Amino acid sequence: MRPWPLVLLGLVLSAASVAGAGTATLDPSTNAKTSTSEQSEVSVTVGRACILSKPADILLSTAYWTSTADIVNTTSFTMQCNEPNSTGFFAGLDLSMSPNDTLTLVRVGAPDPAGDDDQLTVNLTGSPLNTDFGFDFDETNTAPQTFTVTATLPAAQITGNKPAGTYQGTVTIAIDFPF
Amino acid sequence: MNKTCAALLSLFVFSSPLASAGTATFDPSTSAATPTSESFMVQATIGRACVLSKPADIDLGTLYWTGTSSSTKSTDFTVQCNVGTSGNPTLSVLPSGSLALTRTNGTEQVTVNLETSNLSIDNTVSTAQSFSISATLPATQVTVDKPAGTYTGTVTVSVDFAP
Repeated sequence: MRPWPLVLLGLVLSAASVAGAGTATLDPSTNAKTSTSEQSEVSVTVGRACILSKPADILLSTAYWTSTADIVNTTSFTMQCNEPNSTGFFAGLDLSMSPNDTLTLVRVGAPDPAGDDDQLTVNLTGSPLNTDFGFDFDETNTAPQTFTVTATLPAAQITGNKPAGTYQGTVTIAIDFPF
Repeated sequence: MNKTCAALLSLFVFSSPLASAGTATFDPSTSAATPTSESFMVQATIGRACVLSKPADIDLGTLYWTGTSSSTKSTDFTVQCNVGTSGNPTLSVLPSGSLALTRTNGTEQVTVNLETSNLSIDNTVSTAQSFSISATLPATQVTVDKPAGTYTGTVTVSVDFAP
């Protein structure tokens, strides 16, 4: 009569070890089936991105050295961004213009390097401007935001020694992401 | 009563308790000892049991609202069961079809499309069977009104046993 209890005990121990090893088991003590599940996480990172429109060229009207009026014209552009990550440290976008105050225009066809007579200086102003640096961009606004650049050619720049012709220069608008 | 009858009677009285309790008896009608036996059954039940591996997390990478590319990644997992004719296990993935990912520390969501391989468990094999889950985030989900950040959601894989 001794071997049978040992066999039964062996079966119980064997079943118990199976039950303990798996995540979905049949419980030998109750004959109840149990279910199991596992979870996995799906994640994606949405990055900061912006669309900067190209500002139209500023074409100042024809100036004459005999005139006393300044010549002014403007251009505008838009920038649209999604909101930054609200967690952790974040420094705002840097939307800047270069040069940011005066621009030298050089006469097309002038010798290189151009002499003083072949150059004009235009004053540049942006709007709206940040009190610290660059354009004032609202980080929480996901709609396109409009900015304006104004170029002013002072009448004093148009002197009798400036050759007639076309004078050109380039302004660059740039976005910098701090991180 | 002679001596022989007295001896037989004493043997009968002595052996009667044994006959009622045990399996070996003394048959007084034949006065012969006969071998006898009783049987009983030992039964064990082996149930259907499965081991489900944990699918690795899916990282769809970084997308930008200015981009036009979708992101698709997949993960694999295995289920291993013993064979059997009853209590067949079934495999399910929830949610099915699509999964909303929610921005960490926010409420904004993007929706990921989920696809799975055939989730039928072959009940005739005891080797580990592989399955896969694929997640796709369409580029159209990442719009300008989605703040930068990490968006997460959870997929649950379950093994259930039919009653």
